[in-house]
Amino acid sequence: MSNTLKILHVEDIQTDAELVKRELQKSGISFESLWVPDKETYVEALEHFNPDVIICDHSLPSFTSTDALKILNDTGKRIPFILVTATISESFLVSMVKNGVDDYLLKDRLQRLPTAVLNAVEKVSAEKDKDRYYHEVISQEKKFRALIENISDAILLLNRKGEIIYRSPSATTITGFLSEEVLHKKLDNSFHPDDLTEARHMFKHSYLCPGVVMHESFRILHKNGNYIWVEGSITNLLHDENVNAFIVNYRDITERKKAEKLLQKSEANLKAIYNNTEVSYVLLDKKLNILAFNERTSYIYKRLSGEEFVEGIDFLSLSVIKRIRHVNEKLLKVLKGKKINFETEGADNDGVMIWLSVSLVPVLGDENNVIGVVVSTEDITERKRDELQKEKMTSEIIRHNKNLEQFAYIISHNLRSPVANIIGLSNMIHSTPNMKSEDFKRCMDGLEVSVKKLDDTIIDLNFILQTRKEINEKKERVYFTELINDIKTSINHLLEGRDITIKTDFSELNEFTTIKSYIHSIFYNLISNSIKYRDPHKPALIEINSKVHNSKLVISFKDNGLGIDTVAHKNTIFGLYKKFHPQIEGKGMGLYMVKTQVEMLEGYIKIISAVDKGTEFVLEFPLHDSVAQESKSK
Amino acid sequence: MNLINDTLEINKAMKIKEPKCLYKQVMLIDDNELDNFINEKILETNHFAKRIFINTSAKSALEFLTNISTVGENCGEIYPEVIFVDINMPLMDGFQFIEHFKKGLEDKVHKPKLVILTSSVYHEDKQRAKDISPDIIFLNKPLTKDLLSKIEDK
Repeated sequence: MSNTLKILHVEDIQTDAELVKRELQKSGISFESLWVPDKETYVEALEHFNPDVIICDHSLPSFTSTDALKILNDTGKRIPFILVTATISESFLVSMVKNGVDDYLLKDRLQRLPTAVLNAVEKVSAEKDKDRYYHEVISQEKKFRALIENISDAILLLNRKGEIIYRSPSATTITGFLSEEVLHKKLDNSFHPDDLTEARHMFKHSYLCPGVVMHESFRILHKNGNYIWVEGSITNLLHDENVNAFIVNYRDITERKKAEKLLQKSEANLKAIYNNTEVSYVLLDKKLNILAFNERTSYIYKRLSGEEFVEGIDFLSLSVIKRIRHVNEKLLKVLKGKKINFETEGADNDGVMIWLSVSLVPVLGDENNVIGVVVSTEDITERKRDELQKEKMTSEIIRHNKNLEQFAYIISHNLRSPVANIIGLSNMIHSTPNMKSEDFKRCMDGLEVSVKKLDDTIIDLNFILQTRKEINEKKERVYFTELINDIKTSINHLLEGRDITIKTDFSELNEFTTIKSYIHSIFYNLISNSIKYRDPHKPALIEINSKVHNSKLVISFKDNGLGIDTVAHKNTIFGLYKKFHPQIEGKGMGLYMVKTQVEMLEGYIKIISAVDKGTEFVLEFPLHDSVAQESKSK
Repeated sequence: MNLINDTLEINKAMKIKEPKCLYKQVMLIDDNELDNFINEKILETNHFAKRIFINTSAKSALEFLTNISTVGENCGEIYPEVIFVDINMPLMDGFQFIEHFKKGLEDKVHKPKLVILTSSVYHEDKQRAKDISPDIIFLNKPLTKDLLSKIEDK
């Protein structure tokens, strides 16, 4: 607005108009005025003059001030309108003010006119400002409302009591409930019963902490009867006069929650597998510190050492790990990217053997570099026991087969040999008509020898078969010193008058629970062999002693006799009817019987010998063999 | 039949009145004296050889053969043309004997026929003999006329 006021003066009498003008000029107001005497000029002036203020005389010949005001109001323009009149009734004044007159003056009091003009102009200007401001606010609010009502997040305003006083349309979208169904009701009603306590707790907390935003997720009721997951926040703005409410906003996270639940479930499944598997898993970092391990780990390793596995400690600091052979080298190889499998064994706290199968696998990072190691360990004790049992059975079967083969061999050689001779001799007698009596006698002798040999062999075989039968005899405690004395007495005729010394040492172990007749036969055969095959050119010395080694009884028989070439005869030393000293009488059954009986007692025999260097037999018998005991009790 | 004719001619030339024999010398190796007796008698009855050397161990037989082979060309008169050997003998069995013989003595002067004469009917023994050499003749005791003719034919 320019500083020069444009004043439109509606007046039918020119002198009066002059009077008003003079009065205004007197006041020093900068103005420009237009005087219009009738309706036509007034309407035109409203349109073209653009007045800042209108001064109107009440009584005009062509129209009244009431008409003038109406015309102005009809244009929609807001121009200060000041009424000038000679007299005025109160009721008229009220109607004029109602219609928008800003001020009035009596004609005889024109001196107040400048003030009235200025006031009216100022009043309208203020009104206009107010209007503009009002419109601005309205449009602003419209914007916010549009925002609030169009975003997918639901917004609620709750009063002090927790009742819903405002609800954005998306709340309907999310919950299915219409605003009229829930407005002015407590929000409490919509929570899942299980979440209610927590929800109330949060409200209480928010109430106590104004202005603080709190986040939480809950299940709330959907109109369809299901509960949906929502996530949101609450802010207590009760103290803010303009708001005076709790502001709650929330969004539907049901889908996300479902996915989370699925993930949790699959994670739980994995964890369940991880913790319930028979295999122990230990995860190590690059420095071989324990990052994680499953429940089985503690079970497997605790049995071996009593040590606890703890996250963060050095894997190699555990004594049970340190005991594994070359474990350092193995882990170093794995850190270089190699995969290693091995088996290891140890005794648990009760001394029971445990076999473990361990595999060390490198964990590779994004660039194929080793970032850690997975150690998986499985207790394979049972499998191993089965394997050992199977091995034992297999070796037993092989042994039986060998025995059968040997039997076939014996039958073909030792039984066939006298039979062949009998046939040969009888053929000869038949086909030689005039046999010399000397030859005939030899034939008859030969027949007798052959028949005797046949009978002996049959008796031997019967004896061997008897020995091989299941052991029926009960085990009893045998004292070696007693055993030696018994044998010495029974072979007294062999010892007497000969330079033979038997030296014994059973200080380490003098007793053995076993089948007495077998151990007696073994001792008897070995001692009598040593005597039989002694070196006739020097005094004979037989040394017998017992030892305990690796929970096995080890008995050694050592002589200084003729010895056997163990290289040339390595496959036949313990064979039936095998003889190595043809000049000395014997059937070749002694060592065969010794070996058979040693094996019947679950033992093992080996020979160390050389020609003229003497002979040593070493016998081993198990002292505590639980596997063997088990198989026997079956 | 050539052999028989040869022998006959030799006999004629030497004017020997003894019954004609297939071979001049053969050798028997067996640790059992009874076996040796029987075998010797059967060889004699069948006029198999003029002279029979008997050895009760493979070792002594090897020693004997080594000794006579040192005579060289002239040992023909005493070198056995057939060697009968038992399998089952102490210290050195028939197979070991054959191996030693083939390694050290065979082809030096003569190549006698090798006959394994055993009571064994064990199949593996027969196979083992075949594996060592297909020329080895494997016979089961007791020795008979039929069996002897097998040696002739070979």
